[in-house]
Amino acid sequence: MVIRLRQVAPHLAGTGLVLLLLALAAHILGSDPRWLPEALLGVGAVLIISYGLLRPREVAAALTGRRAIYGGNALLMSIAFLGILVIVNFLAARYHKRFDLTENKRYTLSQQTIQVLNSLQEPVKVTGFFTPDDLRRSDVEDLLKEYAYRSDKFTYEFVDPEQRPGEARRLGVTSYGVLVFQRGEKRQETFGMDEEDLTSALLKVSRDEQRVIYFTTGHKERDPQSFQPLDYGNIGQVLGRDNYDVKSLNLATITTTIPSDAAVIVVASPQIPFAPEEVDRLDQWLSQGGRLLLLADPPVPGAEDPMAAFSGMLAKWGVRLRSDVAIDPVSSFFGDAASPLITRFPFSSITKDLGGLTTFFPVARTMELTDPPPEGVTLTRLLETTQDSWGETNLTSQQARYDPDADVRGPLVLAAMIESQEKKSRLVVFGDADFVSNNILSSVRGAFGNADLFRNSINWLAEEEALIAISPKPPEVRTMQPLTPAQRNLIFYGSVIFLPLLVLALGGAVWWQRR
Amino acid sequence: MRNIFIIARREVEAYFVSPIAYVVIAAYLVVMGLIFALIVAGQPGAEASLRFVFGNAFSALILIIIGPLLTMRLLAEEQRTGTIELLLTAPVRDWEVVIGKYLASCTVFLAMLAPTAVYPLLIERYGNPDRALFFSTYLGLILLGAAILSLGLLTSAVTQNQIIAAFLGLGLTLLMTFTEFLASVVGAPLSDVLSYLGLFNHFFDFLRGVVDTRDIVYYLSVIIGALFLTTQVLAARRWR
Repeated sequence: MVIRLRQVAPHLAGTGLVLLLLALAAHILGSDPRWLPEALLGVGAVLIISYGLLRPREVAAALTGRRAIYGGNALLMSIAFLGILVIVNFLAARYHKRFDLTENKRYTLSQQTIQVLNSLQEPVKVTGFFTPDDLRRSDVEDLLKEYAYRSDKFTYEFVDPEQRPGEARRLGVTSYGVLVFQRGEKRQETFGMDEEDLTSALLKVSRDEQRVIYFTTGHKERDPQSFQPLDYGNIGQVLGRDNYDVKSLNLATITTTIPSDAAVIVVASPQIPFAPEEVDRLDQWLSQGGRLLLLADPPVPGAEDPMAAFSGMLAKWGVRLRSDVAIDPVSSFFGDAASPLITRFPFSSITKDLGGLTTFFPVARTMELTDPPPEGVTLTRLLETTQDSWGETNLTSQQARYDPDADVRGPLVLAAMIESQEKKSRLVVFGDADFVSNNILSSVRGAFGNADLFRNSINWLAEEEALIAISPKPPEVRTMQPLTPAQRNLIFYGSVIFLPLLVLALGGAVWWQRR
Repeated sequence: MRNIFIIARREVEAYFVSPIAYVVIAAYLVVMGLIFALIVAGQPGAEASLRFVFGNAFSALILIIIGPLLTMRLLAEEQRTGTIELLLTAPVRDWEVVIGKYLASCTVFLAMLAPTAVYPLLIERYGNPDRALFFSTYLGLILLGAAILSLGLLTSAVTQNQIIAAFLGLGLTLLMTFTEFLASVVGAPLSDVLSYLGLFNHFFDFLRGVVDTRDIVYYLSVIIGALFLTTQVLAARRWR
């Protein structure tokens, strides 16, 4: 019996070793049931020990022989040497230095970004929704990689929204080419792919206090809490998802000043004129560094223009609202000439990532920007109608017709952003309020850029100064010139056929000579 | 030093008198030329860099395959014919043999990369490249290739059979490559280690023009570690 057992002893030991490996694998993969790794370990150990018991002489020889001494020595040396390499690599990974060799330092993050990354307390995860053929993906991944290198709290992942639509739905993503920043329950998305955009989103999502957006009330303005067709409930929810706290503010009831937590105040198309005292309060707040979004619909024919109360305040910032309706027979929403459609945007912080999106503005008024702008004020046109449009001033007639005496020819300004660097004041004026009302947003869904335009405006208004200092790097053009078919053939045949043949010829020559 | 040089020179000559080196280099150039022509000249407005030429799965695979092919013979052949005994009893140290043979394989690898210098010249001629990227790309390629060769040399020391050596080398290199995929399966502390071990994880920054000291340290560690183990395996012949 014992002799039999002694014969199979090597097999027992081999089985034991396999069991030990299995135990390791089960442990790594997190096996269920939990006792499995321990059981495998135990049985494996027993089998290996039994080999020692059955063949004590071999074991003794192996442990004391010449081979054992040399082998043990070599093993010990190897382990020590590899251990040193592990330590070196551990230290090298912790205290490393990166050299950005690119000419315009593409991968060198700004000091502000590094500060924001260093101050992260909780992990932030970024999910990018891109289709695989989206060219922006590799660029933004380069940048995200640098962020991840700088902070072990920063991770990112890319999701193909067509392959995993569930993931997109879970995060409330409706369009492609978007990055969602998450910290715990908080989320923040951005369409911008520059360092400025990423750091700004990172800062927003890592901040605990919420910034407050106040919508004025008391003059039949659009209500961000209501889901009536003309109200702003949908866009209010979008702002909530962007980590803003949306509240209402009645200027008539507040006694002294505007609440200090107001990041942005929105005046969304009042139907009843503001009282002069209310306008004064807003005016004062704005001139002291306040941030205001004004949405102004065209006046109702025959009634007083409720926006007239703001004309004095707006004039100080170089804006004059016209009493007209923008008509564009060439570029309009499904042939409705009173709903101008805008697909091209002048370059600005608000519109820079709207390229390729379409926005439209049902019944909008136009505005005039003073030239030159008032002292210390920067005026930027956000939206412009086409050359073929005009501002219809005869608001009572059924048929819109261009009247050279009264109407102004396009291009006309539909929205403007106004900034005073010195006072830190920011103002955005739209000649329309319907473009983000519930009925419009629920009928067009994600197909149009209306909600993004509104959001970008709020984000720009609520922006902190610290972040504006990250100047975007000039776009780098590192491409091949358009090649003629002859040039392409030269490159193809040269590199695929000529070059390898040259090497083979060289080999042939050497072989011939030796022969 | 002199011994290393003599051994390296003898091996380089052995490589280049046989047609194998030329065939391997030519085959490599055909594949890389095809990738280069398709990626850089094949689509209008392509990026003027070698990033997508050397940074795609085909280029990685061909390096993984060619590496062990270049090293498989070095020690396995000498063990099969018994000439290793002569070498090991000659007045040279084991590590001199190992480094000499290793440097020879690196020389052939450099000879394989050298003709690809035509690509940057063509990009320069027909595009607007950032030249620093060429430098970092080749630095990364040389380090990566040298690491693969050191792993191949190690497997060439453990067997007498060239083919087995090549397959072991291929397996070891693939293993070092796949750890980064394993990393996404397992949990936190282990996944960091596994993704750090990934042979190609340390390569991609070079392609973008970013040179990180930890990537360099990683490749040098793989090379030194593999060469040390190779020396130990050879030394084991004395007491086995």
